[in-house]
Amino acid sequence: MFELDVRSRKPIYEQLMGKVKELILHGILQADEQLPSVRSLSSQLTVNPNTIQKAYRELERDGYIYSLQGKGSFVAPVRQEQNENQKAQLRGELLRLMAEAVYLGFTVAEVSALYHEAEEQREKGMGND
Amino acid sequence: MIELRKVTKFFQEEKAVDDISLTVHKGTIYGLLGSNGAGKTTLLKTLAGIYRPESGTVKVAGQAVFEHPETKRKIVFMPDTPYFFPQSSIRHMADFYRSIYPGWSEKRFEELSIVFKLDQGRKLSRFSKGMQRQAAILLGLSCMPDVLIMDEPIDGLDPVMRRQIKNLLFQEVAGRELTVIISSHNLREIEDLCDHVGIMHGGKMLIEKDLDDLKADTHKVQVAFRKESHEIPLAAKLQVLHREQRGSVHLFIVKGDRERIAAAFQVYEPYVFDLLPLTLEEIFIYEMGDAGYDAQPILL
Repeated sequence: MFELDVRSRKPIYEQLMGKVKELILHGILQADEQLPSVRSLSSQLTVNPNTIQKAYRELERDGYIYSLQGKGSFVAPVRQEQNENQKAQLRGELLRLMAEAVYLGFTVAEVSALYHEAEEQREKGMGND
Repeated sequence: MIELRKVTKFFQEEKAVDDISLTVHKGTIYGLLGSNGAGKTTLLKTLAGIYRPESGTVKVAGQAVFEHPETKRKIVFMPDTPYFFPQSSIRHMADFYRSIYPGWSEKRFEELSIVFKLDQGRKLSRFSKGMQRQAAILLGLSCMPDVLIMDEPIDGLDPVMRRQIKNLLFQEVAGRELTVIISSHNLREIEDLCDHVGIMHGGKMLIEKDLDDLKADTHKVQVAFRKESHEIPLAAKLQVLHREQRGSVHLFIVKGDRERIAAAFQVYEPYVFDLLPLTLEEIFIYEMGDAGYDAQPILL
């Protein structure tokens, strides 16, 4: 489920956070679904359990997951304000990419086609689950 | 928890460990790095209660270590060259450790014997270097220590065994909060294994931190400016550890917050701008360079 690149310069806990976010955003991990325990993930990925703990802690702080004492970590339902925060962040990134796209000569139709492609992918992801 | 307070250790006139204070929390995997002769092994042996420091205190779980067998029962120290009694086999050594360590677990010994496929009746002196290392780890983990101190443990192990041992250590850390202290020169391995690191040089601790914080604190910036003069004001604004120029591309090693650094560079709208985290090896080299220990560019 999680593939990490240990050769990457990006810290492992950030990579892990990215993967979990991605799985949540694509609907592969659904609200209230349980995440693998720190121990089993550590053994599966051969990653320091403290690093996994840290990723989970940060994800919890960002509101992506919640934890229940003695039971483990679960995917949090998406909250509106959190959505707004992410949107604001993404807006900046999209603008930067869009500027590059404009420079390379992308048309509005091409960009819009990409939007629909992403939409379809997400629906498919939800369907598989 | 392991606590060292102002520990100094002399060998005759020579100060091997110079006023080092250090705290390692339970369940941490701590990597001790340093130049050759920095005092890593001396520090580890002081920690394990093998050496008595000239001044300062060493405490494990609040208890003194040196000449305190009840504290040492919870500590396993693996020297850089595994030591076994002459003519002994794994079975002999297991009998010995069983009688010394009250925490010895027969169950763990049997589980680990399946993992390490070693002939337990064979003389350990006839084992290869890597097999002796495996035997030491098999015996060490079977003692079920609270603190495991390993001096250069990665040497001589094949990649499969390295992964296996990493996995075992992670399980012990996740399952029962084993504390591990490891010294090594293999920074790639340390980077994957540890969550905290300390870098030593000349008996002193240069830097000691959470590994991710350490990496988040120093960045490599590759940049090509629109005007060469743009680089001048940057030095005043940022904490630049190192800079070099390759053609029109400048390389900076900058300390500080990622966003702030990016913002400082973006003002000049450079042609090329790349901000990368440093690898542990790069951090090590730049920190050592700062301490006046660096490789000289010599052509022979």
